[in-house]
Amino acid sequence: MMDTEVLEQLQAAFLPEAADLLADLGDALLALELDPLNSDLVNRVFRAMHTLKGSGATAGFRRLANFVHHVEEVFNRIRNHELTTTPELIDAALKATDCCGLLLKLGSNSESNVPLEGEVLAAISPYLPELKAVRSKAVETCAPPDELHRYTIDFAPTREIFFSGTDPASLLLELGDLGLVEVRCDTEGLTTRDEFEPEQCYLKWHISIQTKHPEGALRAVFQFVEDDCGILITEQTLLHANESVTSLVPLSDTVDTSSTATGSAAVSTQDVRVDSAKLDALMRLAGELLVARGALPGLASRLEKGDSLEAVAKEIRIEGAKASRLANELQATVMSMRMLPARQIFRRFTRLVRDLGRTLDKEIELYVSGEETQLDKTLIEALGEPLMHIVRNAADHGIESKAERIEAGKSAVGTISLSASTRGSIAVIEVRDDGKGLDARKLKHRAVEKGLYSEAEVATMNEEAAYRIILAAGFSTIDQVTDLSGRGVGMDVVRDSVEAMRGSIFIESAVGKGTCFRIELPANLMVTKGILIAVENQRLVLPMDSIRSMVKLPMSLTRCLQGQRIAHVRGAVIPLVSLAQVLCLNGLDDGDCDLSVAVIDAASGPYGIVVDQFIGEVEIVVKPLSGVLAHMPEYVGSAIMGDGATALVMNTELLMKFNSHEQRL
Amino acid sequence: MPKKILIVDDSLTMRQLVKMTLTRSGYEVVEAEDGQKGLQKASQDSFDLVLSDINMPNMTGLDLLRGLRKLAAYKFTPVVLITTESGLEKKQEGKAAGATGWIVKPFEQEQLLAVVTKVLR
Repeated sequence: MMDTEVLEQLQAAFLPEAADLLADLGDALLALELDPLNSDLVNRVFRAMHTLKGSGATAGFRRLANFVHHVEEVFNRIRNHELTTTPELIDAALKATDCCGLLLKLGSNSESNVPLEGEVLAAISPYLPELKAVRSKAVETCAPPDELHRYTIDFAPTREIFFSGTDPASLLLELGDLGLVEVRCDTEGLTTRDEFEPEQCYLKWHISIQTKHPEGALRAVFQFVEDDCGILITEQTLLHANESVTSLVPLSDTVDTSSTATGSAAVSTQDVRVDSAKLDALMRLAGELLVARGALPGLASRLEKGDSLEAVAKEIRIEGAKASRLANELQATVMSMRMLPARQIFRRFTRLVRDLGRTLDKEIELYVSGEETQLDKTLIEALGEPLMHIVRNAADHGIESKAERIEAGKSAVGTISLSASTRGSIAVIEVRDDGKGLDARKLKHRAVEKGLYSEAEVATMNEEAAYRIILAAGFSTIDQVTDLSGRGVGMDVVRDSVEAMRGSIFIESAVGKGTCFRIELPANLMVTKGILIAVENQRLVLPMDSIRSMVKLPMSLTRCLQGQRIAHVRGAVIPLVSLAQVLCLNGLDDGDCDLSVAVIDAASGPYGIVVDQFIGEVEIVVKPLSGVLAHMPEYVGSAIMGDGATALVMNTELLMKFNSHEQRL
Repeated sequence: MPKKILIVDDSLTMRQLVKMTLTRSGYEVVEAEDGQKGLQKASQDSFDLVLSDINMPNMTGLDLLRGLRKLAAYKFTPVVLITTESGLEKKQEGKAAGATGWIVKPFEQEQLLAVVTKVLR
C-alpha cells in the first residue's frame, strides 16, 4: 500500500497530465476520422492511451486504467493491422475520452456508476473477443442505457418551503437517484444579515441531470412542491449530454466533497503553464527592483547630510524612472503569464461541429484561424459558453440543409469559421457561417409578434439594429428555438456574458450568404487605461477603450426630443446620458453651462455621457466587485488610484440602458 | 433507530394497512383514530412523520395539521395528508396549512412506501 502523501502528490501531478493527454487524444481521434489509414495518427492515439493507462494506474486510478486498457487494446489491433479504423470505433473512442474525464473527476476511489463506461465497453466488445469472454464487471453493472436524456432544471423554492416540512436538499438528493447530477446553487436571493430569517429559504438551484428516466420521473420528484415553487424542466439533446458529460458528477460526490469535486474539476483552468524563460525574467526583474529600492535610503541620508536639494531631486527622478520602468516590465511579464492561446477555446469546437453535423444531418466544415492569438486567461474561460452557443446556432439555424444549399446553388458542405485576432488593446473573435443569413424583415415581424418592440419602433430600425433583435431577452424562447440550440437560453445570455466582460457583439449578415458574429473584448481584462472623472464629488473611471472622444458642449447645442436629450457632436446626433442621474446622485441643473461629454462607442450605437469634470488619464488594474456591488451591472469593477483612493469603474456598454426616458439634464 | 411515524385515521382498515406496510419496512408506527387524539399523541411523543386522513370526527386532518405546525417540535416535520380522489380540491387548502404532500386513496402499498421514503429522506 502506497503512502497516502506520496499518492496525493502523484495524483496532483497526474491530473493536469491526464487533461493534456485527453485533449491530445481527442484531437488525434478527430484527425484520424478524416484520415483513417494514417498510421502516425493511430500511433499517436495508442501512445496517449498507453500513457494514460500507465500513469493512471501509478496514481491510483485503477478503474480508469482498467477501462483505458480495453480501448487501448482496440487501437493496438488497428496498429497491428488486425482491425481497421471505422467511424463507430472513433465514436466509441471519443466517448471513451469523455468517460475518462468523468472518471478523473470522480477521483481514484469512486465506485459510482458511470453509464458511459458500460456504453463504451459494449461498443468495443465486438472487436475484443477476450472482453466478451471476461464480461468485465463494468459491463455487467453498467448495461448500456436505453436512452440517455439530459435535462436542466431550474428550481426556485418558495421562501416558506420549510414550513411545509419539505427540505429542498432532500429533493436534490432524490434527483441524484435518477442519474448523474450537477447542481449549482444560486445565492443571489440571499438577504443582508439584518434581514435574514433563518426559517426562510433564500436559495435557488440550477440542476443538470443526465438520466435514463423520462421527464415525468423528474416532475414526480417535485410533485408536492410544484404548485408553490418555480420549477422549469427543459430537455436538452443527447448531444449536449455527450459533449458535456465530463462536467457531470454523481450528486453524492458533490454533496459530500463539494470542495474536492470542484477542485479537481478546475484542474485545467486553475493551473497555468508558464514558459520558464518568463519565470527567469520575473526573477531578474524582481532582483533589479530590489536594487533600485536600495538607492532610496542613500538618497535620504545625503539630504540629511545637507547635499544640494537640486542634485538629490535629480537623482530621485532618475531612480524613480528606473523603478517605474522595472515595475512596468514586471507587470507586463506577469500579465503575459496570464495569456493563453485562443486554441484553448477553439479546440473543443472541432468535436462540437462534427457532432452537430451528424445530429442535424448537415455537412459542416469548421475553419479556424488565429489560434495562436494570446488572450487573457479570464477571457478564455468566460468565452467558451457564449461561443458554443453562437456556433450551435450557426449550425442549427444558419447552415441550411444539404438539399436547400444545393437548390440555392451553394456547395452542399456548409462552413463555419472561427477566428481570433487582436486590434490594439481589443481582442476580436468572429464566428462566421455561410448559411442562409438573417432576414431583417422577418426578425422585425417576429419581434412585433412577440411584443418586444412596437411597429413604430421596428420601422425606424436599420438592418444592423434589426439583427440585434436576436440578442433581445425573450426573443429566442421555447417555441422558437429547436432542441439543439438549447431551449429557454437565448442569445441574450450570450450578450449578457459578453457585456459582463466589457465587450460588445456586432452582427453582420446577408440573406443567402451567411452571418458573422463579431465579439470585441478588451484583450486584457486586468490592466486598462481609463479617464478619471468627477460627478457630484464622486470620482469614477470610464474605461478608455470605449471612449471615442471627449468634448465640451454648450448646453445650447443640445435639445430635447421626446424626453431624450440629444446633441450634435461632430456631425452625428447622439443621445446624452447624465451620469449623475443614472447613478441617482443629485443631477444638478446645469443651466447654460458647457457640458463635459464623453462620447462612447457602444455596440448599440454611440452615445454621450455627461459628467461634471474630466480629471485625467489613469492606468488602472480593474478588480471585480464583491458583495452587494457585484450585482450592480453599472460597474465593471473597482480600481485603486495613485493616491490610494478607490474609484469605481463604469460599464459604459450598459449605462445607456439605465438611462430613463424621463430624465432631464 | 427506526423512524417513528404517526398514522391518524378514523378507519381501522386504513390504519392497519398503513401500519402493516410501514412496520414491515422497518418503521415504528403509532396509531390515532382522530385529529384530537393525534395532536395529543404528537405532543406527548416525538415523530419523524405524521400521516393523516382529512375527514375525521372531532378534529379534521387540516385542523390537526394547523395544530401541529403551532407546536415548535412540529414546525418543520413532514406531514402527509391522505385524501380521496374527490377531495383533491383540499390539496390547496392542505398546502396552505403546511402539508408536505399527499397520497390519494385507494393506494397500493408501494405507493405509500414511495411517498414515505420521499418525505423522510
